[in-house]
Amino acid sequence: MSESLSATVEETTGPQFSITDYPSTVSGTPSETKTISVTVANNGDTDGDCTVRIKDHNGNVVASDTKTITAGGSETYSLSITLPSETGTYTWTIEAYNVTNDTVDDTKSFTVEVSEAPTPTAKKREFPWWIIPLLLGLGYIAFSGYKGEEYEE
Amino acid sequence: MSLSVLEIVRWTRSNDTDQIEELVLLDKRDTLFTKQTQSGETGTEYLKKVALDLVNKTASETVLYTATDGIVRDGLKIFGKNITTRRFGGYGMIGGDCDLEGDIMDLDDPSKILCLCDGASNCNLTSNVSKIYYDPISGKIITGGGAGGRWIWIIDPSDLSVVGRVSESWIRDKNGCRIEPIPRDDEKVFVIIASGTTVDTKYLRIGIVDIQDIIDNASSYPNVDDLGSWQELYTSSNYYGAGALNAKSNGKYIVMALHNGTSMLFARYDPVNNTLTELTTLVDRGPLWRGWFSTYTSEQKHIIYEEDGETVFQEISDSEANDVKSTAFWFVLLTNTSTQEVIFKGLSPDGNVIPWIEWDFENNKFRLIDFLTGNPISMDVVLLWSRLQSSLAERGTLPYIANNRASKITVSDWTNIPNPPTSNVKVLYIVPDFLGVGV
Repeated sequence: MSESLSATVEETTGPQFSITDYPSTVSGTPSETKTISVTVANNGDTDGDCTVRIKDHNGNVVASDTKTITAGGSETYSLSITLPSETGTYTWTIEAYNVTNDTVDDTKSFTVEVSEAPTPTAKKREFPWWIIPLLLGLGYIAFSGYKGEEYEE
Repeated sequence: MSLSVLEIVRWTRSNDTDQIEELVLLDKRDTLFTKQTQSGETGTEYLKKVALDLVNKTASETVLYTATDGIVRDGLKIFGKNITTRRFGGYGMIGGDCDLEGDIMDLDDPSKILCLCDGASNCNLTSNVSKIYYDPISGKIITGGGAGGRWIWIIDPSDLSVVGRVSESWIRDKNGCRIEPIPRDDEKVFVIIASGTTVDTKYLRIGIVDIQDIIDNASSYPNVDDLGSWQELYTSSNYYGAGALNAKSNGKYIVMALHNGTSMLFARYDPVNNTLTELTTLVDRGPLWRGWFSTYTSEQKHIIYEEDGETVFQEISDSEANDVKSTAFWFVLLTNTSTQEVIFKGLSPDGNVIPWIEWDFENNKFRLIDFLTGNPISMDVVLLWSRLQSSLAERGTLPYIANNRASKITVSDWTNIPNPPTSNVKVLYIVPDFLGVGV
């Protein structure tokens, strides 16, 4: 800490947040719970609180968490989301909300793919290889009979 | 608010003299720079660094430099975010490394001295320095010219070199004159020019000019009144300057020391009405926001004046205020020349604390602390802006507020440093509001 009557100061921007790492796609089954990781950096010149908010395709906040991020630092958020109950492909958003400045500093979108659970596949019927010698045997028998008659002169 | 004056430390100085101990720079809570003049103008002077022991309420001196006369008188602390803190002093020196020249000294390394001269074979102190400011926009020091001085010097503090100088058309070729800038809350300065009593003609002139105009043209040694941004405000043929003008602003007025040919006097310049008013009180003053702090040694009391520099707001008896003194803002050095005891005191709003400002640039915050204990305190402060940085020194000043760049807030804990009003006005002054005067 320092002391003086006057000081030269500089304009500050306060904390400024940007989303630096997030999933591009999250896949799962209807109503399945998934955990996603979002990393936020503070590019401002002071420490600040950042709330990461996950919004679904209807704009509803489905998960959020707040952390203090030091100036020049970054934090990774771990958020649990529940996928839609209906199958389909959705676009959800991630917001970095600046608590200090009351602003949304950054927004990213990601894809949510929901599909039915895969049903067990029917066992593939094997080719009845045993039929080949059977057919060959029957053919030989038939062929032999014919020739016998043919050469018995 | 019940104003009083509290003792901070006292010590017995190392060299006997009948002269004042002067406050060159209040650097921080535990460090002062002072100067001690020996009897008579030609006596040896001592520049000292004084370490304050705030627990035991005493101090110890270290002599940094001696010369026949002069050394440094006005102090500057270059201080701020992303700026390396440095300390300088300016004055004129007789003897020493800058004989009969003005000088700028690095107080952290007194062997680094810049001797100033206007090019004459015998400078005869025409380069004398009174007032010393830092301009963070250009990164340069801007001085005023004290008794005998006729130049505003532009100095590069990085290598302690001369960038250029600016004079005024009438005093340019005359010894024994004065020229002092007074900062404002914008990118301009008032410039006050006066002759001295050794010059035949009474001459007082006040104008206003852009700081950037001075910086840009200093290398060609122009006259300030020839610069494009010069604006003439006031002239008078009734006054000389008295010694150094030692002009100071309390935010609303500028008070300066003049001479009418018979005696010294103080006068108040009102920039709004462009008028000069002679004051009847003959005391030097430290600037408070819209007020002044001084000491009547003859009546053993401290006085807080209201903004007109004459109306007494409050008188505080002090049996120790009976000898020569040196006032800097809300601090005062009293010297008992019989015992050689020096007493450092400060103005208190409540009889318990002396307000002081602590800065935390890492977190972009400031707070008020008690100078005596370092504990945080709560108090109203006024925030003022300027392009030029002045320091807590005997010759320091507040900026004149021309653009309403002043605001008052109550500070009770760490408080965010506000953003500068413009990109070229980013020096913030934080001044305790002792008088409770509105902004």
